[in-house]
Amino acid sequence: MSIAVDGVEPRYVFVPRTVEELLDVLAVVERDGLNTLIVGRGSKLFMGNVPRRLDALIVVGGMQPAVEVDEDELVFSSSASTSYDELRRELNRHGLRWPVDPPLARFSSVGGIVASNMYGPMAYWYMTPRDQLLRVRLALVGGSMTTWGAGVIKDVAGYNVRRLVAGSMGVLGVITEVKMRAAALPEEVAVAVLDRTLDLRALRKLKPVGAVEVDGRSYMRFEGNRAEVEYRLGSMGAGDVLYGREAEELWGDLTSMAGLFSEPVVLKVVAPPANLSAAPLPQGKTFRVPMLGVAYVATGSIVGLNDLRAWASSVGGHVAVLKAPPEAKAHMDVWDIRGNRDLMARVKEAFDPRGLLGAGRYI
Amino acid sequence: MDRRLARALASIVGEENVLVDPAELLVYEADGSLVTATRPDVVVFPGTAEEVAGVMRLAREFGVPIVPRGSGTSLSGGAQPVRGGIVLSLARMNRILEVDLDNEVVVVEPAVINAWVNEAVQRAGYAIAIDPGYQYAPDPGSQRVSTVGGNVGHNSGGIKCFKYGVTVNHVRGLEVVLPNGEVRRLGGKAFEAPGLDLTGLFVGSEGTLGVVTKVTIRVVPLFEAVKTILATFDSADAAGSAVSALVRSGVRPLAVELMDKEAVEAVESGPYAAGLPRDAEALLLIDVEGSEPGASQDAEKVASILRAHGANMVRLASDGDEAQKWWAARKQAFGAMGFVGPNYVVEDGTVPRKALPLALNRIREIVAAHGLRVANVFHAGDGNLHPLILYDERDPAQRDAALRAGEEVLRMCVELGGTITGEHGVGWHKRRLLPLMYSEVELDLMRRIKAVFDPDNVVNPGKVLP
Repeated sequence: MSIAVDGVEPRYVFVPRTVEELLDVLAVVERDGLNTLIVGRGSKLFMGNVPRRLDALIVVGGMQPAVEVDEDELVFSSSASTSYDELRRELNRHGLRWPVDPPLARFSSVGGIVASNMYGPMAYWYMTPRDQLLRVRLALVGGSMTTWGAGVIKDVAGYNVRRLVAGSMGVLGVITEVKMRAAALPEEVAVAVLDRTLDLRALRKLKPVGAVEVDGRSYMRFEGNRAEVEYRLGSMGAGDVLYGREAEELWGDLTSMAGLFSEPVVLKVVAPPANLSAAPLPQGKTFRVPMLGVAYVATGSIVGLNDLRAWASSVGGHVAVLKAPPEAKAHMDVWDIRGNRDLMARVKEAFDPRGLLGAGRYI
Repeated sequence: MDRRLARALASIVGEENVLVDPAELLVYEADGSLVTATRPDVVVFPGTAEEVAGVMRLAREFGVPIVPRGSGTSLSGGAQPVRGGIVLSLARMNRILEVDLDNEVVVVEPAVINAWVNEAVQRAGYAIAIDPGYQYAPDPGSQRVSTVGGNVGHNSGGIKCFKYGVTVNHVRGLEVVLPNGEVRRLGGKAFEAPGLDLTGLFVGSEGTLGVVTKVTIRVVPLFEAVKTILATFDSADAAGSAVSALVRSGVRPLAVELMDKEAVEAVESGPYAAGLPRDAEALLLIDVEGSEPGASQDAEKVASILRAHGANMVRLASDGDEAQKWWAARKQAFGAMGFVGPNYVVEDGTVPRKALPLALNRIREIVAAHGLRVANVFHAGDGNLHPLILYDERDPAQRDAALRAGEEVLRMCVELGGTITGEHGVGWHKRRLLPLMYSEVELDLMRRIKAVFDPDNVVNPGKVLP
């Protein structure tokens, strides 16, 4: 198997089939001091700084998928390698869902979504994977297995390592299993389409579960019981409305952002929501999540990035370069981490003392 | 105590903000659990982050422990100065700095009382005509006295957390002072900060990594209508089963609380009596919210599910006043225990929701085996148990028995797949039990995380980690 990361080819590619094999591989990583990256299904392999040095890739996406659903508790456990679609189908079979709608979901593994903490517009109500994570099993360099969290809704015993692991891009260890909060399938789902964008306050008053703006149009998702959804749609006035399966398909297509991520450069702008409308976004395809203060922009180059970052910094936000050619990323921190990098590096060191995971791609 | 330390502290915060008189120190010997007490050498009241930083540097220089304290309502000995040293009271840092509803956040100093946030948000909300406004959702039972900083330290939960999550899900940013005196800003008003989630790590770290001096919290929009449903059952088992059915149904209740007969008896014997039925073995109190028609439909569905699962009485609150009365009774349950027993130990384990009936039975057996009585008030939606084990402190053997029973209850929670603490924290009292949940490899990793921030083990030593 040959996989290059930003043009850098690893010497070794490990494809463990079981957790036991993964632990053996991690023992080898430590023994031989291999600078290693973790890959799930590879849907986000373009994300990150150009690797400083890359000896090995561990591809965990081929491990056996497994999902266990507990309808009484409204939770599910999933192996990291389970695909988002496999999980969705299994949860739907039990009348449940994982209430997340992150970019590239249809191409992602559960572990990849948690490791990147990528989220979509529904995070306004349901929060991010990091917030929904109840327990995580994390394999460390050297081959130790650790478990963080009791797996119940409320658990404050010890440090909240779960929150560190979610969004850590595989630099602390390898996620092998997660236990997450689920939600029941709502009685009704509707997506309303307006041919204009709305003022933020006006949008919030409509109380959608999530809202996006694409090409000058607003898409708002409503869900709940029928009376609730009809009431919200009634407050909105004019507009096209899709219900049920049609609504879910439209929402899934929109929020997956496959078209946007096929462009050579993708920026993610995060700002306090009231400031986002003033962002000096470059020309290109945009996907705004106004209630969260997040915008994705697909452009041809990173020209103007410094000005955009200066603006974001001035309002307390940041601009991550999610995708760009390696030569464009070579001399920047794509994540735009400004403060507390020293603390993050030392926290990483607590998990990975020799700094073997991540190869400079994240922290 | 080293008099040089007191003089140096006074030079930072002013003489009037330093306590050394043993009589005055008495107040700071214990936290809200009142089970154990240890005296600090000195109490200081800094007024700014810079003063906190100065005190931190001094503690490090003198090699004395420093214990941050809000209102002291913690229930696990977290605010107790178990090794003496400096109690750093944040009481003077109690200003609401900004209500920014455009960005749906509020910025506060750490000693702002939880309930003040909602009062401030409601005042600001009047400026937005016809809008239902906003709320700060985390609402621990202590919300009228506990501080936001203390809630951050313990990652406090509360009644509405079933729907909205706990404190960590509402903290966007922190200003913290590290033990070396550095002031750091983590996160901010934006929905997400890049890099590892240090904000999330600090929340729930029980003051062992540093001192929080500013908190940016998100507020969530209120709905037009809230419906409150009261239901009674012949057994706590039946009530627990009804909760599982309710949660599976697709309704997202705002709150699901359970009180057993003993707890209702205590509440109804006191000033917050709300006419709750004393003859029921268990009582559920449930809120749903939404638009008027949406909330009404949910309330009907909830009532129908409860009836189908053994409720012998289901009532919808006739108006907001009645609902408020019922909730006030629930929230005063801890305080009302004085009417049925002179003292109590409150535990805080969580079990999987479906294990609630079994856990309740086991709790009764455990406590009875120690010759004591127990009342139960808990967050049924999330399986967070709060058994109140009643004892009389005039009999030291009873106190010890209550503590032993409490520990057995927590061990049972872990056996059933739960945790030793759902929202009160590990603190001092439960640190010995943490190995029930974490291996030595995991505990060692937590120790290394602590050392990243506090290599000299100056801040709140002896807490959380065994």
